[in-house]
Amino acid sequence: MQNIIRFLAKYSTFLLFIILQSCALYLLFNYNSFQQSTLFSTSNKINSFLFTAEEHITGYFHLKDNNNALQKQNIELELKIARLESVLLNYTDTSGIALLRKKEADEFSLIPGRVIKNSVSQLRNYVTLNIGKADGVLPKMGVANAQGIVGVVSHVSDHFSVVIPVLNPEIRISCKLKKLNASGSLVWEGMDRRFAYLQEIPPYVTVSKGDTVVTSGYSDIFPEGIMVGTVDEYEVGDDANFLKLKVRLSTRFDAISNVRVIRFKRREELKKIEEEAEL
Amino acid sequence: MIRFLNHFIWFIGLIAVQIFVLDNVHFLGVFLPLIYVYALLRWPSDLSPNLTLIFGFILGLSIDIMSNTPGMHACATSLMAVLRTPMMHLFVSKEDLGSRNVSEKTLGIGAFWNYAILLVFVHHTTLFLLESFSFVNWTLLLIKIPVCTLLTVVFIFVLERINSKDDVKS
Repeated sequence: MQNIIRFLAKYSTFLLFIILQSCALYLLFNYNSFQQSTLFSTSNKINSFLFTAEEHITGYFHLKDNNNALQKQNIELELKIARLESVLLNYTDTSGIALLRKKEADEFSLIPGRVIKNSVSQLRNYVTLNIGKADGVLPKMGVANAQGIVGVVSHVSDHFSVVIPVLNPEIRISCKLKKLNASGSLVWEGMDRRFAYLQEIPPYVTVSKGDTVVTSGYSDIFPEGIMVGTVDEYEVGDDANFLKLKVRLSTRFDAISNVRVIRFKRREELKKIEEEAEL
Repeated sequence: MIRFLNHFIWFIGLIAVQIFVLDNVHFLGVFLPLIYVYALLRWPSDLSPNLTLIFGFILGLSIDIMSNTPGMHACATSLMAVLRTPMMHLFVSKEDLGSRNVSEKTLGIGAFWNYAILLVFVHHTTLFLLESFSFVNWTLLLIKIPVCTLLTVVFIFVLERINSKDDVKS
């Protein structure tokens, strides 16, 4: 205690000077607009530099959340566009297709999901998604992304689901040539992840290179018109009764990340009536 | 007591002259003498450093309040006040100082002007740096500090003449 007092006494002038100077500077920066603004803009520059640096680093931590939010928003907008388009069709198209299109927008809903495991180089490839029963995913639902079709859901747990993609010979997807309306089934024969084959196309159609292949809508898995790919080559099939088309897939399977599961709203009803018919 | 009153009157008088006369007269538009520092220069040599500092602060603050520049003059004068005693000891030994008002006579001509010019220069430099608060107009700043110091010193010279007569009378 004594030492402190002695210290204070010894340096009293200096301490007093510091105190008075602080008071003066406080007044200076608080009541003089020019000095205040200069100080403010300087500290602002330093602050903004530091915060920019921080943002550069921490910005990455939120990328995933941001991505999810954007994806959700994207889907909402896509659905909105579909609805608006169907309304627009009501006014521009009188052939009755409008009615069907409108119904389609009501019949399907989309569940956003993210690929957490993916393979492209196996003989049988599988894709795992981070959504499951809790999100409304059920087996035999179609999966697509912005580029085109991805595959069909095969197994579902509460929070995950396994999708059999086009790159798996176990699955056949009903597709058609958009221009000619001739349908066949899409099969992958292994090896090249970029190509699949559209089989069972009737031989009388005149196919040309670059024709668009889309889903046919003959099942409750995919609605009609989802992009599959374009015709790359065509050849006569094994039994000569059908054409076999080599299709360049529009989906890049080695880079799929954000996908949507397509839920057909009246699936149960359809299944029930189909079962009844079989009886 | 009379001595204190004398200092007090000089204190008030110098502030009044500074605010009401000199602040309105800018030589060539930018240069102005700051004669109020003379009040601080002539305080008794044995005034304790702490009191010098406090009075210096009050002096600066009074000018600040009158000329609406809070803190600026107070900062400069308190720096000047803290340097006053060491500066005095730089030119005159402690034994020779005694307890008299600091003036040409008591310090000696050479010592007093060294002391006065240095302190005025420190004060003006601090003040103008705080005032401009940037080096954008550094050429003006470079001219302003010595010219204003010179002007102030000239005024102090005049005041010193008045003061010496004053001392003779009392």
